[in-house]
Amino acid sequence: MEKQEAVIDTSFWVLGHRVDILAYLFRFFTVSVPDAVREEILAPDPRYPQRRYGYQEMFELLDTQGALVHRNPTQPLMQLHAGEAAAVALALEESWWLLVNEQRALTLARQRNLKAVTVPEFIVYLYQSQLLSARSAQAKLDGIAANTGQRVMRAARVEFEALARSRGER
Amino acid sequence: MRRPTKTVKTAKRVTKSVRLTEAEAEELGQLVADTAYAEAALLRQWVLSGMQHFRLTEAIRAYQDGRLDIDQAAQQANLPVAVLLEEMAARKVAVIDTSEAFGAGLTALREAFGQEAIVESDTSS
Repeated sequence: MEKQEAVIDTSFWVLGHRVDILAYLFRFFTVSVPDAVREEILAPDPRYPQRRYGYQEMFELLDTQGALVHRNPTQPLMQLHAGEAAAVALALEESWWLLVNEQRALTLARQRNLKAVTVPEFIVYLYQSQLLSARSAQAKLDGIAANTGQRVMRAARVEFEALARSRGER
Repeated sequence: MRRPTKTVKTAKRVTKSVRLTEAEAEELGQLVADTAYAEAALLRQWVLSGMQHFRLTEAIRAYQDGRLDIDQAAQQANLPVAVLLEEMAARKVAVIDTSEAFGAGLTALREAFGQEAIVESDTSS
């Protein structure tokens, strides 16, 4: 299987970290991070300057190991904020995948025919490709349910259940 | 050798007053009595903490109502975008909610990487 190029947005990184799926990305993609996304992820919490969030530690760890590629678009999109604008613009310029989990950027990306992947879609695909067990996929879907609209969750669970039934795991 | 004198500049502070009922004032006195803090210092801390909490709650509400995008909400909350997303995750706020958010990406993954198992299943996770 040949890896493909993808740009990650802050929204995918933060929620993806909460349900522990980021490491799987690197099986499928060479993951690029624009500077604006990097800055958003690593920005300290002004309320607790000493605090380091898990998603920040994970980012620095992978960045130090050279797992993340630093790339910037020539021209960020005006319609979105810094991180999203850079991520969507880079994906558009290079015809790369976009890993995103925020509605406004996702809508724009899909309007522009980008191959955009959300966290629930990636979880279901990990189960389909048998990288996750049914129990693990179920737990991850449960883990994002509170941050994901009901319509999205319903569609994700229907897809997951159909796959599980087809494998005799339901 | 003489050390250079450090001058710490503190921001000018203004006085705000608040009227409490006798019961509230008594409860405040009891709370403060068991601590090493001065009442005024503790009140200031509570006001600042309450202001931050209020800013965050209002920013999230505005985001949910569609009045602010994620960046504007982060600015209103006085937080970086990633920290706001983390707060929203902890507070169970949906960041994708339209039916288009599920389907096209999964189809694209299937087309690009196949429909079947990619490696041996990991049942340990």
